[in-house]
Amino acid sequence: MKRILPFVFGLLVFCAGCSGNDDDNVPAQADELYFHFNENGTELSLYPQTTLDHSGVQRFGDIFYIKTGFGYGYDSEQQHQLTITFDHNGALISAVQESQSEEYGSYDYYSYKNFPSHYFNINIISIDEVNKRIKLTFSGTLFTDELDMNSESVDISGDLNMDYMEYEEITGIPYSQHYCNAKFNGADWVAHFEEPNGTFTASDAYRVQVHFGIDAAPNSYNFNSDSTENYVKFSKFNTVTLLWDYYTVNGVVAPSYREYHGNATYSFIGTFDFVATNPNDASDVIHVTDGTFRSFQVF
Amino acid sequence: MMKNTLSILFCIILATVAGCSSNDDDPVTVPVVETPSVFKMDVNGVEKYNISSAVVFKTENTILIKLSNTNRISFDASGQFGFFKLDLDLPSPGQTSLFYSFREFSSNYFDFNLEQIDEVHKRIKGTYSGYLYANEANLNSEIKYVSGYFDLAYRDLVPTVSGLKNHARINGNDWNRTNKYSIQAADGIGTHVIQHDLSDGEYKIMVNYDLTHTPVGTYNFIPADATNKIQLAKFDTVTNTYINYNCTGTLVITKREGDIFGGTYQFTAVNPNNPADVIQVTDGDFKLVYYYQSN
Repeated sequence: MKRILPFVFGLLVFCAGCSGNDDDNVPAQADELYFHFNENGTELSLYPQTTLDHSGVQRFGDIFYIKTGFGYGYDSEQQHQLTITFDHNGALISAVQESQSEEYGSYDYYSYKNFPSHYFNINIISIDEVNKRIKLTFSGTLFTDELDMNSESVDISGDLNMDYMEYEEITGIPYSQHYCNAKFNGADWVAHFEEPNGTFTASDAYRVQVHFGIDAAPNSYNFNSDSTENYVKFSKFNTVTLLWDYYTVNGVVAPSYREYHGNATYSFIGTFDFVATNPNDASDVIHVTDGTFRSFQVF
Repeated sequence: MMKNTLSILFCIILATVAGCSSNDDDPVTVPVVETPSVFKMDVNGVEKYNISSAVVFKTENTILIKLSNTNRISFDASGQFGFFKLDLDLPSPGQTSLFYSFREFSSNYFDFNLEQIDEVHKRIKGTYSGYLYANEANLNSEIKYVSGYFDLAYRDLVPTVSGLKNHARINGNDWNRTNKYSIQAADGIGTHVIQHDLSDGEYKIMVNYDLTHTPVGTYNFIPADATNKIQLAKFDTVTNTYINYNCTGTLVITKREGDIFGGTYQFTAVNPNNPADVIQVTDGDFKLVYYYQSN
């Protein structure tokens, strides 16, 4: 009997281990990597099915890039490369899908250019700075004409939990020496685009336009909404009318240097400070301070 | 006493072990047995392909089996046949190497049977047999008889331009395009284009448009119109030619963006050889991309 009891006890312990709750048999998968992508109802993924190719997340300071491809490497008729750029708050800067087919050639799809963060949702669930991992969801529509929401389009969405590669912060406008930075009522504002020359926009609704006369020498110029040369304009994108609403402005712009590139093309470098007032709402006043810029101008 | 004790313990153990066994609610791990892929093709009774490496793409509703850049079979997810193109890759100069399924009324000349499409596991299975022709529009051209079967995994793809299609109801019956070709109109005006959209049945629908002068709008058309109209033709298996019906109706271009055209249409088609043969084409809905066709 004594020889049997240890065996029985051991078996009972084993069986007790069999009971328990459902979680006991499931390995911990609290932070499993995934990237699920949907375009117009077609589901693609990186894990476990590798129907997404060349996928990765990159971080340059506060700016993140999601890059993925689909249709590559399998002798397919269509190839697509998608890049989504956004800041650490989840505000979209731009998204572009470059699509190529043997039969129809190239079609590129872009996020709406004006106030892009309003038209594309990115919900950052977590950023793990230690393990360099980001978890988020995204959804939005990309258009063949970045200024026409009635143009040919694709609906995309996805969710991912992926490691990111970290690189040195990019200052100014990517792939450009130009920049426009300021404080709007004390909050930092950084332009992400200069398009066309002298027109700066970011992920939000605001736009700053810098303009100089051909004979503008380094100096301080007072300007207001009626100025025709040496001024800064300030406007906000209206999501109802899809037009820019101009604020009345009053302030100083001070080019300190202009660099000649040939063919009547200059880069103007300088500073600005002004007050912008919504002409339709006198309480909507924005103090634009500490403005610095380097902008193109072609005469 | 000893025996009783052992019996009681044995019963307890059995009951406990039984309690450990899986019930219906427990997750059961079923080993995943991957179905081997196979693509089999005989040409004139001689095995040409018996491979597992065929790639298959499903793009929206269209499925393409691709054996090489040239060798391909296309059909839609409902099993409606599109086309079959085969390069025998013959080394001898002068020998015909390229063969095609007959383009017109293809289901009358080629048997294609999509037995299964499993959208969960992303697999397709089917059989095919029939003649391929050296000229896809000439039943008297050189032929090869092909037959075979396939059981293949497919990959989902997204198209470069979404929603390309031509769908209508012909006398109330659904009609969908699964093949197409595009030509310049016979009037010699370079910008007049006709896209011939084919199902696997006897009817084809032709979209006539002008590359430079078809803006968004409504076009009421009659048979004499040179462009911006829709036509219906029916393949006659006796004469092996099409009967081009006289078509009168309305084309509404709702989308025009670069080379992308889209719209709706409805019309009445009358057989020019038999005025009593009247066909109503309704619920027409199309989207196409103009493309350059080299052949």
